[in-house]
Amino acid sequence: MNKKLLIILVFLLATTPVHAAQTLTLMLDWFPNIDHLPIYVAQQEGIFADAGLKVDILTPSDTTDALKLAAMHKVDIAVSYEPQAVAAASQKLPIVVVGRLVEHPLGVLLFLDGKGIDKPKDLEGLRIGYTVPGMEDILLKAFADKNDIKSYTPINVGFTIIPSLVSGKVDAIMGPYKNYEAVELKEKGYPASYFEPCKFGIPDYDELVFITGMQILKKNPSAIRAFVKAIEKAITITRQDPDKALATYFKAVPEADRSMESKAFDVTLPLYASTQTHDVARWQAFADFALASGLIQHPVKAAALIKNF
Amino acid sequence: MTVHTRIIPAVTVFFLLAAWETACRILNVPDFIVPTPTHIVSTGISQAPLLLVHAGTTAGEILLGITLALMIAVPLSVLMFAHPSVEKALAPFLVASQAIPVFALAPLLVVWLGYGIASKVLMAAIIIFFPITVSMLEGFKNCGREYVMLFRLMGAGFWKTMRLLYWPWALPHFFSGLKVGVTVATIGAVIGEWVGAQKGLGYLMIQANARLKVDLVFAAIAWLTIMGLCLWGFVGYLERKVITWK
Amino acid sequence: MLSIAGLSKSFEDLDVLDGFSLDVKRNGFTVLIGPSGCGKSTLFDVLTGIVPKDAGRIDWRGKELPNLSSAAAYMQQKDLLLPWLTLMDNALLPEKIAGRENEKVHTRALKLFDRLGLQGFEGYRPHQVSGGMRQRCALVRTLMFEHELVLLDEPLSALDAITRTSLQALLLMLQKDFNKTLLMITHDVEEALLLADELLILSRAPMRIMQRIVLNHPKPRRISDPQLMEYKEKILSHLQEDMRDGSY
Repeated sequence: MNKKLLIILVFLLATTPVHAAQTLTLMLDWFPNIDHLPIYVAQQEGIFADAGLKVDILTPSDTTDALKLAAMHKVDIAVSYEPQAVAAASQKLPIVVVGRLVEHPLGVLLFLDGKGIDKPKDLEGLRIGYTVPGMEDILLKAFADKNDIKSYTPINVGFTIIPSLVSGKVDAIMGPYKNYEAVELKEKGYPASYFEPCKFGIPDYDELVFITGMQILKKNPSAIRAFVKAIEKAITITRQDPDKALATYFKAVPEADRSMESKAFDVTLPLYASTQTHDVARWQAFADFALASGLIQHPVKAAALIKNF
Repeated sequence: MTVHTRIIPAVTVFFLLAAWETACRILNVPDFIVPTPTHIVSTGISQAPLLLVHAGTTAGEILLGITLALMIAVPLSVLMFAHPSVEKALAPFLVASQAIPVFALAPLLVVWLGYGIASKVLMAAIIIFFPITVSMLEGFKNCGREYVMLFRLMGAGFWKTMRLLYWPWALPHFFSGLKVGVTVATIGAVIGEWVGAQKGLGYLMIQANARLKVDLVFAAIAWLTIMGLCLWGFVGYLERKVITWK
Repeated sequence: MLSIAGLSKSFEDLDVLDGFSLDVKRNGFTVLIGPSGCGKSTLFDVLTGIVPKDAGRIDWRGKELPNLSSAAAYMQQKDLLLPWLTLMDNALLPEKIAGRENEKVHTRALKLFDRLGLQGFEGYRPHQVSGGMRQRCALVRTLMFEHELVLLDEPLSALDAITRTSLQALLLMLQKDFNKTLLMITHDVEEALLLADELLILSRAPMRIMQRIVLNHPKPRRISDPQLMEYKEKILSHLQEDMRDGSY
């Protein structure tokens, strides 16, 4: 080769910034499930790689682990819930909400069909279970207040959702997911219906969001931004070819229950975040509701909690 | 107890707490991961009314669990000693009751017994049933052969020997088993509360955790620890009152 | 009064007792002395009924008995006092078991406590009194049986020399004042010489009476007595010979 050409080539290579892949640790909120599909699509379809990222996906042992570890900057990104993020902010945890995964609530007030429950007022005087003390029981109370349910018996059912409903130990439960337990009940031969809290007086909120610690954001904003953009792309691809996305998910998560999660996917697909832009006013409305309903004790300024890239 | 034996544990605890406090401050450990002892104490005091209500519930579950366990373990151990065939038949179940991870048992009990107090009481009872039964049985078997012979020579049948010899002989063993039992009964009740409870320190811990109120979680743990210590101390007191011959 | 004839007992392959015979006079004090493992304890186990005999006959006051549990009181090396009972309650244990506890029995026990030098200690627990006092309390318990025959299995061996001396005096009192017939095992030659009317030296298993020494010396005796010292030497050499002969 021509010596001059070689020198130019070397010069170009030397001055072109070469990006080695950056590693980010991501901790989920729970076991991998269909709600996390876009993450796996981004990983398997090389979207993270194209953005110069290598994402290690971790599973927690408790739903609050991811958030706490992100606040401690022991993981780079955490999957969490808007209500939990608001609660954390009110406790002054140093976190920032950066991305959106599921843009509407999945939790519903679930009950079996054929029990004579058609509208919220029908729950008057009944036994209503809840899944998470400190969260769902408070949401349940707010729901009851806004729907003129004067008295009911709250029962902590933990995660024994299906046995409790089927055995009749409770008449309804606040907290099961509409893309999960509702689907599962139908599969098992127990058709069920639900009230969506946002249709009955509870402010709308994101079910699943991506959170990072303030320190991490300060140190490495470009990597976080690249992550959020990658998720956005993954969701777009998923909507363009859902079947392919589903197959990709099952390849990445072989232990998933195929028949169940396929049905859950049908319900979840329209709910993946359509945009990565956070609506600050909507967040503030939820934060105010959280304060008024007793979910949190100290007010939260949504603007400080959110990062729009 | 002499002044010495009271001071040493108190001083040790004080130093441990001081070390904890210092480490947290120096290493800047965030409050939501591990609160400092001073923070825990202040929460424990400021939230005392709340903690008291829940502690009362858990205490009730523990005491009922202990009572239930005693009501079954004591007669059962006597029966097993009187009839070794019964002991052989029940031995695997006894061991199973201890080997089953209680965490796995808790949801089952809730499904069978509902969300009321029954499942928590039964959890506590199951956990302490084994130490009590085994220690009583050991106590009976441990009885000196010569004493048994003496009673035989004096014309005493099995049940008289049980009342006058085996039972008093086994009492020190019983109290050791009980001491172990009451402290683990605490664990049983709390785990029972993690699955379907409305009140109690275990319930409070989950709730506080979901709301990221880690100081309250630790305060609940502190109260639980104190309850365990009180139970231990009470059994020790009973032991000293009953066993007057050592 | 006590007649043992042809008593046999084997364990596994070993014949411990093989046609053992013994007679004890009424109100006599017979002492058995022999090496350890010769079978003296087995003899007592058979006599008290703890272990059944293979063959032989036991007669007490002319009547045949399967064992002496109904006719003899038994005292051992260990006092076997129940630590959670007072000395009085321990002494009354046989009565408690038989359901015969009452005022009369209580008074009888108190009298015995007095005679044995335990007055004032009835309410104490065993761990609060000395070894000698405990052994004396065990003696009271034994005497509460009111059996004429008393079997003594090395009752004083766990005690120090001084306490032993005073209890030896008590045993003599049992014979003289309480009119008991005593059959005792010991490995202490001096003790045997101080107490026995008849001293029987036993061989190794299968146990038989090697030598019978009748002692008419008035009691209480002093070990410094030259004839007793002579006997002591003879007995010791007998025992040593037997040991040398044997394949231990």
